[in-house]
Amino acid sequence: MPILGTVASQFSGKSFSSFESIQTVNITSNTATITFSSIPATYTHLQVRFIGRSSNVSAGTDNLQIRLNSDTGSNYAEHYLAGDGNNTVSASAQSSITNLVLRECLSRNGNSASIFSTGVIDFLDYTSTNKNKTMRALFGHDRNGAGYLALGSGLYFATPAAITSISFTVQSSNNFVQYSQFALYGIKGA
Amino acid sequence: MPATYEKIATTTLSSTASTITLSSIPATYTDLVAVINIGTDVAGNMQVRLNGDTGSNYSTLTLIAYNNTVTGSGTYSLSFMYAAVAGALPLTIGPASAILQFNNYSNSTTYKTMLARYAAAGVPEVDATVCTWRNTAAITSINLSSYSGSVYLVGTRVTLYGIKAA
Repeated sequence: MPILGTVASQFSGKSFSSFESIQTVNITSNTATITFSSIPATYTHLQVRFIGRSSNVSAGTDNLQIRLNSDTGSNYAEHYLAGDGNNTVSASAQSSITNLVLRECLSRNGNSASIFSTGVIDFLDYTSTNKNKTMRALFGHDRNGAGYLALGSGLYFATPAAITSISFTVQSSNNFVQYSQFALYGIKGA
Repeated sequence: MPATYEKIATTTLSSTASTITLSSIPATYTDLVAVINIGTDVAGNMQVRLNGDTGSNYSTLTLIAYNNTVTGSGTYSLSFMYAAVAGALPLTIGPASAILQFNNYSNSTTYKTMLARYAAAGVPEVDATVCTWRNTAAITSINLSSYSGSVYLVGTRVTLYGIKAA
C-alpha cells in the first residue's frame, strides 16, 4: 500500500480488531426492504453505514423507516434536529409509532441524478436484556445547498430483548434504488 | 470475522502548514473516516477538496449551534466543502475536533458526499455538515486547506481510516 501524500507520511496500516463487518446489502434493482437478520450477540454495539436513494419520482426527500426484531407494534419513538439549507432549523418528536424514523433521510429519484443520502446509525448495547434499546443517527444529503441534514434519536420500548434483526424500508412503499448500500458492523467491548 | 477498520495514514504537524493532503488513497475500502484535531493561527473555515478539484463543484448544508443560537444554511457552487463553518482555532484557545465520513467513496456512479461533525469548545460552537462533490469519480485524495492564508499549527493531527464492508 502506498505512503499517502507528502505530509501524511506516517503510514501505519494498523487494523482495529474490535470493529467487524457483519453483513452488507448492495442494491442492484428496486428493493422494498433491506433486512439484517440473525445478528449475532457477540458484539457490544452495532453501527449501520449507508448511502441510499428512494425510487420516488417526485423531487424532495423520503423518510427512512427502521424496525427492530420485526416488531410492527406502536413501540417506537423518535426525535430529531434538522436543517434544510435555509436559516430555519426544526426539531420534533413522535412517540408510540410503528417504527423508528429518520425523517427526510432519503434523496429521491426525482432529484438530480447521482445524489444519494448518506448516514451513520448506532445501536448501543444492543444485546442488553434489561434496557430498552436506543438509536442515534447522523444523516443527510445535499443537493446544491438544499436538502436535509439531521441528528436523530430513537427508542424501542416494547421489550428489553436483544436486537436480533434490523429492517429498513422507505416511506409510502417506495423502494431503495440501485447503488444504495447498507452495511452492518459490530463493535466489540473490552 | 475479519477486522475491517484500518488506519491508513496519520499526520502530526511538526511545523506549520497551509494544507494537509492525503493522497493515493487506495480503493480497497468501502468508507473513509478522517479524524481531525486541529489548530490554526487565525480562526476560519476548514476547507476540504477532493482529488485536487478546485472548480465550483461543491455544495454544503450545515447545522450550527453558536453560543445560544441555532441556525442552518446551504451554499452552492463552492470551490471547496466546509468541514467546519467556524473552522479551526488557535491552540491556545483550544483545538477543534472534527470527524469526516466519506461513505462509499470508491464507486464510480454516485456523487460523493461528506458527512461531518465538528466541535470547538473554545468558540463555543458545534456543527454538523453534509456536502456534495458533484463528481462520480472515486475519491483518491483529500486536501484540507486552512482559511484565507492562515496556517495549521504544530500539533495538528489528522488520521485517515478505511472501513471495509463484508
